Amino acid sequence: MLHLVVCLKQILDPEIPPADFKLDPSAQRAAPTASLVASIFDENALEIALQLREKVGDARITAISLGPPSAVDVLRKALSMRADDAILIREEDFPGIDAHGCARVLAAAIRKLPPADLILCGRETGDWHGGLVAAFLAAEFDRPYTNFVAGITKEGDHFHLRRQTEDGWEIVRSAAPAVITVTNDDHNLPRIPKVKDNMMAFRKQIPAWTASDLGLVPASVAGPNSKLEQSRLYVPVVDRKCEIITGDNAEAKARQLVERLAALQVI
Amino acid sequence: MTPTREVFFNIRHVWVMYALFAVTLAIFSYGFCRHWQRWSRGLPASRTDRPWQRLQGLLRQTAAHDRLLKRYRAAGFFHLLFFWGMVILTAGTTVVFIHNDLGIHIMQGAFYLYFQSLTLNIFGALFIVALLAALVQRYVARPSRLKPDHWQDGLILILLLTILLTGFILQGARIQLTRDPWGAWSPVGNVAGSLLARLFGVDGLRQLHLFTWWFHMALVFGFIAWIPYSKLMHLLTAPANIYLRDLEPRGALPLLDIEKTEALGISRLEQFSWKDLFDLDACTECGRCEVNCPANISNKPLSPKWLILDLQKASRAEHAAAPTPPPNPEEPSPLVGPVIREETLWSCTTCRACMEQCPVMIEQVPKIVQMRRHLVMERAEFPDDLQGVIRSLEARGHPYPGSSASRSDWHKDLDVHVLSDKPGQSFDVLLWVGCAGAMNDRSKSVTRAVAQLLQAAGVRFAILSREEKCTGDPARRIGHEFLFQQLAQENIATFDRYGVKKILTSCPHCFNTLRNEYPQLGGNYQVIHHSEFLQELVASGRLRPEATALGKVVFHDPCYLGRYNQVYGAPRQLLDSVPNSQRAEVPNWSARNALCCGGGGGFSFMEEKTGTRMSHNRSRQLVSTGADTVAVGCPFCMTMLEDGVKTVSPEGQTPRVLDIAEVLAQAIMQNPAQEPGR
Ligand code: SF4
Ligand code: SF4
Repeated sequence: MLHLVVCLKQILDPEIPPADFKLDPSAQRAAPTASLVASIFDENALEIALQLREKVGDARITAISLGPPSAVDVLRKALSMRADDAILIREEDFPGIDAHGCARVLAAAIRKLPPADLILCGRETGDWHGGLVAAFLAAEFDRPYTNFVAGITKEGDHFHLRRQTEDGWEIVRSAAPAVITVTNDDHNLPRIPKVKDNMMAFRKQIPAWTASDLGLVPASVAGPNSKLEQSRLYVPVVDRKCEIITGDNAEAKARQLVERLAALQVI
Repeated sequence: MTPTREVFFNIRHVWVMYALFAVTLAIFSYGFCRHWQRWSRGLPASRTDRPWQRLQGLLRQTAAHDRLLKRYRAAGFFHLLFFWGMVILTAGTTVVFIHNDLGIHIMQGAFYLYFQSLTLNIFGALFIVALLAALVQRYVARPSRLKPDHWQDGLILILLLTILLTGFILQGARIQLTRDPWGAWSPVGNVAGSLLARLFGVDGLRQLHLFTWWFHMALVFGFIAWIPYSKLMHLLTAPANIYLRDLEPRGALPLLDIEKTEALGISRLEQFSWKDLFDLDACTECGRCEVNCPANISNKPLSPKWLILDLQKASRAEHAAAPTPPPNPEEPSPLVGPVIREETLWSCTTCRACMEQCPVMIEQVPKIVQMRRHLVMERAEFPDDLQGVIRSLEARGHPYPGSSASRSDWHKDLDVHVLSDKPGQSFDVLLWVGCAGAMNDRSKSVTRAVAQLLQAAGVRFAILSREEKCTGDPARRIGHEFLFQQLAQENIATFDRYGVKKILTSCPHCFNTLRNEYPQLGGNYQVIHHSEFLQELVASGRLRPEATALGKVVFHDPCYLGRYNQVYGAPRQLLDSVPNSQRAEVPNWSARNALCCGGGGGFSFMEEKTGTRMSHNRSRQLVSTGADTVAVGCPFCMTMLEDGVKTVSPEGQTPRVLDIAEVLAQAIMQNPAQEPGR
């Protein structure tokens, strides 16, 4: 039986109206005023895992998320799309964690599960667009890493990965176990769950693993040990000014316009 | 001598008639029981409460043909003759039965003269006129709603005509042969008799009478026996169906207990209620539902008539083929797909025109939505356009995927009471803005107009702004009952938190759902559409419109305001309150007969992939009135018709499309004492 592990992150809704976006007073993160959603590429990753299970028949899918308590919503969504199991890892246990730290925590969790044949992540999160965790994860396990995958088939012991490149598609034959990142295309649009599955997902218990469950000392993976530090977070101020060019005729207006543009040093 | 007549004049071996009648009854009963069996396969539904109200409605629709006459004057009139002819003649036969077989001698004296002779004669004659009109209608005028022809249709008319003519022949012959002193009380029979006497002589007439009597009897018995096996069944099911009609608020779809229900939505006939199955046999195939159906008019693969008839055929075939196994939701549906195609279900705007037109009150919309529920909730199958809508409703509580508008944008520069900012401050009415009103650019100006009018009139109102979520109307109409209930419960919790009692909204879809559907989930509020609210403000003098350059204005009735909630007057009165305004109507196609703009039932979020555009068809009607302004009262109608009138109007003659609130705001602006914002 194949074991597929999908890592999902809950993020601030990227479609939040700009007018509703605020930073919290500490200016360390966005204020949680808007809705929270699953990062879209992570959902694509789950979708192709589901498709792979449909193709091979015998496979188990575990959805895992490192996040705050609200991240259970993302895991419930994964269950309602018919992932078999879901595990939450308490992000509060790892204050100030960076991408490398995330990969180490996720790896520790995945090691506690039955051996994984394929670990799938979104190609990058929809909030910070780092795109690093999966690569670190591959390094943790010392396994092959392929990014920008849009579709998978299983051929014997190997995975055939359809990979998006600048000018087309590349089919990569990868040994298993493997780590991949997933990009979106027309064929991996996340499915809308059936209502029955939705309700079933609400009834399932989702365990929340702590640092000690994973045998990790928070300070060793997060906080002062982080290699990345956030120095400043701010919402850029967009200053808009509107000037109306006047003139007697088109030629005069054009001359005026050129002069103004030159004065502003844009031409 | 007491006026009366001999019952079995000229007839011997009357027992043969009784024997034949017993056979007739047996054939009839067998057919009827088979129908009954089929109906009882449906799930329970309670449709027998409030008998008095049911009876009143039944009388209005049968004795006065209320609905039919509202749209179809001539056909309605002739059918009324038909109906009364049938009733009076049946009553006459019953009188004979009581008089002769029960031995209660009522067929005599003045009653015999006035009723049994004169009245029956007149109605019999009118019945013949109606039958001839029906034949002309079906075979000369040939409206498309009656197509395709079935051999039964013509045969039924001819059969009835023959029964009536032979009846008059019998009567005439008897009057002549018995030298009936009261013959003149049956004028038609009397004239027929003297003509026949001249043609046949006394002996011939006696022979003719004898033969015609048995022939007439055979036809009548044949007719009765045939009822359960033909379209004639509607003689019984149509009135019964009107009696059993839905008395709940029109705008409320049936509530689904999602936790307790095994199969969500309907994918098999047995999952319908017995009343839904009964509906199928009440259809008279008159096609009136089809005439006003925007989907049918625009060549979509949906006809409300064929929807019912296809289900009827399936129901009869299933029953004939033997009992079916119990429903198994995992199995593919024998109904949705094979009998009613998915495209058919996705073509309905839920405009209710079909239900409003159907003379026998068949309920198409709940059937369509319940089958959609199966598609959406059991199979998770729906048109691509709706995927994003559902996702957006789930994640963001509004149906506009990709929108970057905020619900607070429209009131940024207005001083309005946002409840979350000042929860303690009291207010009289909550202005429910709705997703379109807050996020669609064109509708935002309507919302602003409403807010400014309320301010000008000094109404203490408040808004929820970012705390508003979609009412769930689009989710419910596309069949996602689960999502609807989630959204509704969240909104109800918000209302309760702020102690909301009265809600005002400019969106008829929100209006209908808040008013008629939230009570199903325990949310009871007084809900008002802005047309009514503003009209009251004008009537009470709190808003005083002055003349503006409105010109000729035509009002387009929103389905969920008009047909679903019967608000027809207020928007019109509001427009009339503007001095100098001149109001037009689309002849035959306004108020309850208005054609849907094509924006309901999820269509505001779906592209029309087949046929012509529904919005263009409606726009053509509106433009043809020569109006300078098309007034609307719904954000979806606004979007649909703005696009529609632009396309169909002749160059340079495109009417403006304005919400009634915008019309009023312009008229108020003319009154310096009331300029909004002062
Ligand atoms: S509700 Fe409207 S669109 Fe749907 S079948 Fe009836 S008339 Fe047609
Ligand atoms: S459903 Fe009603 S309106 Fe339509 S054909 Fe049947 S009886 Fe006529």
